[in-house]
Amino acid sequence: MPATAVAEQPRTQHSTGSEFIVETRNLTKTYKDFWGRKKKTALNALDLQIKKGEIFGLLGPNGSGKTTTIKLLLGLLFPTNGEATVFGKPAADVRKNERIGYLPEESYLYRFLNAEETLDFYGRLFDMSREKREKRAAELIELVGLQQDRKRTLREYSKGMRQRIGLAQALINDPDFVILDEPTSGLDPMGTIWMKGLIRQLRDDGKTVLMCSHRLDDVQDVCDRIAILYNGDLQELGDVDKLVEDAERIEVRATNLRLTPELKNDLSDVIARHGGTMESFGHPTTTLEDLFKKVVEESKARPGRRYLPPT
Amino acid sequence: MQASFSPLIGVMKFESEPLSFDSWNRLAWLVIDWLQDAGGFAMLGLCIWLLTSYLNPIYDVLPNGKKRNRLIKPIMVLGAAVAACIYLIALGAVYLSGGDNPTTPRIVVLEQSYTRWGVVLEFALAAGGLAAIVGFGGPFLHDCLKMRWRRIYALALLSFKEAVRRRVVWVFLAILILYLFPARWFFQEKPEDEIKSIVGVTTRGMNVLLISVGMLLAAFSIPTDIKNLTIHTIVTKPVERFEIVLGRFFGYLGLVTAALLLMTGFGLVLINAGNVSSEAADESMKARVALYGRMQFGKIVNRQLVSMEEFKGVDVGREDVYRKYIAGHPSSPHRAIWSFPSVPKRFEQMDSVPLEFAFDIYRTTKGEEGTGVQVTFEVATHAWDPTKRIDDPLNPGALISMQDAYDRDAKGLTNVTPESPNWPKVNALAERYGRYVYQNWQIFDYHTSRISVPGGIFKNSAAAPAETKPSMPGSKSLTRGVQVRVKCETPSQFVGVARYDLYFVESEGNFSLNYFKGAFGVWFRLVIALAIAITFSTYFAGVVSFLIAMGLFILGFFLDFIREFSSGLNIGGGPLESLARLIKNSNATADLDATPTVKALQMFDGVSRWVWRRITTVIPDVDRYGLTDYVAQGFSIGPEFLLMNLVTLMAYVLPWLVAAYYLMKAREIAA
Repeated sequence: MPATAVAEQPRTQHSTGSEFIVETRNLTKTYKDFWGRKKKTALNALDLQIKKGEIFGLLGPNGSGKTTTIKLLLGLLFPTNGEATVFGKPAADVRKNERIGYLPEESYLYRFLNAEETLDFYGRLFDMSREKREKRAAELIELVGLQQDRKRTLREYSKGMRQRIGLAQALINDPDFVILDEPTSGLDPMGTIWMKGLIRQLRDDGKTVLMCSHRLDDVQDVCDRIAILYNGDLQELGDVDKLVEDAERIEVRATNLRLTPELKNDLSDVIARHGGTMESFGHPTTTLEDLFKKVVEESKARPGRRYLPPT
Repeated sequence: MQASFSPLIGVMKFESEPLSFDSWNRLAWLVIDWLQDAGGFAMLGLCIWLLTSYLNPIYDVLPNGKKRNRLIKPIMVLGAAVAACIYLIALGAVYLSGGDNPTTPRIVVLEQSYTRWGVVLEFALAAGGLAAIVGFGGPFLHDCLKMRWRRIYALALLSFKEAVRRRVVWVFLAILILYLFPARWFFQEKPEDEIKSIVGVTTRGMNVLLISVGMLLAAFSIPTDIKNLTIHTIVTKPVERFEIVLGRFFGYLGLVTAALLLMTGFGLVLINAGNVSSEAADESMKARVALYGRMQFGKIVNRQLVSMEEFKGVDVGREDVYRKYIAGHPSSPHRAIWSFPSVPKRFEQMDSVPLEFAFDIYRTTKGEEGTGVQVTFEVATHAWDPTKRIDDPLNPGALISMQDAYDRDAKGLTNVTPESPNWPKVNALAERYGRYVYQNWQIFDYHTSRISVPGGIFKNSAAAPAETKPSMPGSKSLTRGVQVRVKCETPSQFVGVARYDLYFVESEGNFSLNYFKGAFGVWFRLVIALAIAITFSTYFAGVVSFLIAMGLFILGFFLDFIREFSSGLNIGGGPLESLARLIKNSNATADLDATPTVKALQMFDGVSRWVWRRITTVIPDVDRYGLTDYVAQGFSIGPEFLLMNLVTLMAYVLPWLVAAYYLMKAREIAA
């Protein structure tokens, strides 16, 4: 059986042009105390562009400046120096928000409202007509899978459910640019898979997504480009595939073969003949996420106990 | 309008003239004062804003690549520059008017007398204020045009739902405690004062409950949103920040307005369904539309009314100088005179017109127990001139004085009431001579009484040609209309009177409607309380906002005293001088030795007065909106009066909202 080399297609193919949705120049934020004395530089001279139609990830440890960047782009903070534009408008201009959807890290919503009222409220903030609000709310409640719970107040929701309704409010205006702060926070693995699928779907619909997350696997799974911040400074910026590519090693995958010492020796000889060294030989491991997904789907199809302890 | 209420007093008491659209000069000065005060604060705000914006700029990049500080608008710089130039002129006027003395020629502008430089100063301060208001208010107005009512409504609805679902509204049920216990159980009162007590107690209860709850909600709303980060999902929508302020404001205003309406309606049902005494119903369950006249004092000398200017009434030594007194005796020359330059045309068609009054009595002797003081009322028109010689109808060709003719014709027609068969004769007599007399009416302390004035008086008055020269003694401008002259007949007693103690009853309105109009007074105060609390909440934490707003609101109840003190009119000097008097055990009225220490203390007091004068313009004049007295005393609240109060309310609230706009705009929500 011929071995098949699997090479993933470059992810940035979804970018639809070179138009920048976000541009920052020398963007700096320094926190000061009451007397104007400098306390901490949260972001230092950030130069960044986010292209239309891509999923852009902001990475970094706690206090690296990810959330500060998002808050500066949303006008929640004012820059100490430099500029930030979104859709060509200054970040402090509220008109830009017409085309933005924002999901905060925690779902900061009014817990005395139910799902329908929540979406109706945010729809009104976009000056949407009643018919449009009702139609959009119904679509989004279905999208985030809360039809059964749409009349319950948010205080009765689990964290994952609040994250879902939070996403729905972020999409109420059918935004062109979606900012997601820790979008998979509070979601179970199935919810995480669903969320990542949705983010990809948004990109496929031509929307631009900016997300920041601590979960590197999530970022790697969905982002086209990433920026890594550390201590307020931009450390790395580029395509995810290129950044994570290990140019020193080659991976070959094949199917319909058995692991035998002969095969191992043959492959080792071929590699040696080309001047390389075989490092490992064996079955590749799947991800835990794939395993979980498989188990849940099979359990749905065939309810009942599946695991039997070894006798 | 300022009206104060005391359960003992059965009439309206106005410390200052009520505002009306008739007094245009006074309104013009109010506008000038407002421009000066609001303009001064606008200039201060402009300076602070421009300075902080210069030090902490937020730049926009223009298409040509240039940077522009988005916090500084050209109109702000222009307004500040123009205002600064005009204020410099005002400063020059202050310097030049320093040499003015009592002999400096004065000019009258809008009925107020000023020296030349004094006028320049007043108008320069107003013009500078206007420029500062344009500079400071320009961006506010510009951003107001971007607002959408749907967003404001959404935020208001949110606030309303929040309060309802958090069960805040249950607090309003506390008012039931007041309604459950009749006021007469607790107050030893005359039966006629029962409704006054009920209205007074329930309105005070509503004031406390609604204002404190409304203020709490408003003070904690935005700080709680910021603390819970819920505001992040709002300001990241296309919402102008001021829309959040207005949304919260209108939401809570809607809530407390609904509560106010329910409480008012419930109170009205209880009054109507309750077992209120007939005396109280007669006294207060009405809505009189009163026609007030101008009041002066006069003396009768040789049957002529004279010395109106010199005689200002007797001061009997009471601390309250609101009323002045006329001495009582059958031959007393003292008169209290009310002039009604214009009366409604329909008075002429009426058989009788009610004249109501309630006076204070100052007794120098105990008098007879259970007996009041006797007072004579003389109602006269321009036509009445007792010394004038007229043709004697009984002796053709002969002349007789008008007084003698009247006395002869009025025999047997004294103190006739409309129920009497002689009333038509009295009416005819009044029409012929322009005079009607009611003698020796017995009055009691602050007890509202009523006599009937024949309609003939008003027919006589209307018969005067329009161009008639002032002919009524003591009245410089009365050419038509009527005068009511009051004389105290009881020896060694004094009757205290003020302008609003006597009036013709034009008509009587509906008490229930008036009761609802009275609730506007509480509503006006609610608007003030919410506006102040919301404004502070845009910058301070909830607790701090509540405490400052409540403190400022409570200060409003002492505004008269603060004004008196800040103008240097109080006895005993400022705080430091008073302290010095306390330490020295010095009398409040005694002059202190002009030692360097005393001079220094007085100088510091002068500075504190200047500061307090500025603060008084910030303190809400909550007493102005006390409309309960009207309802309690049974006086109709006119639409013009409500409108004037609304205008002054807007003039007060608007600067607060502008301040809230800038504070909210400058705030880093996520900081």
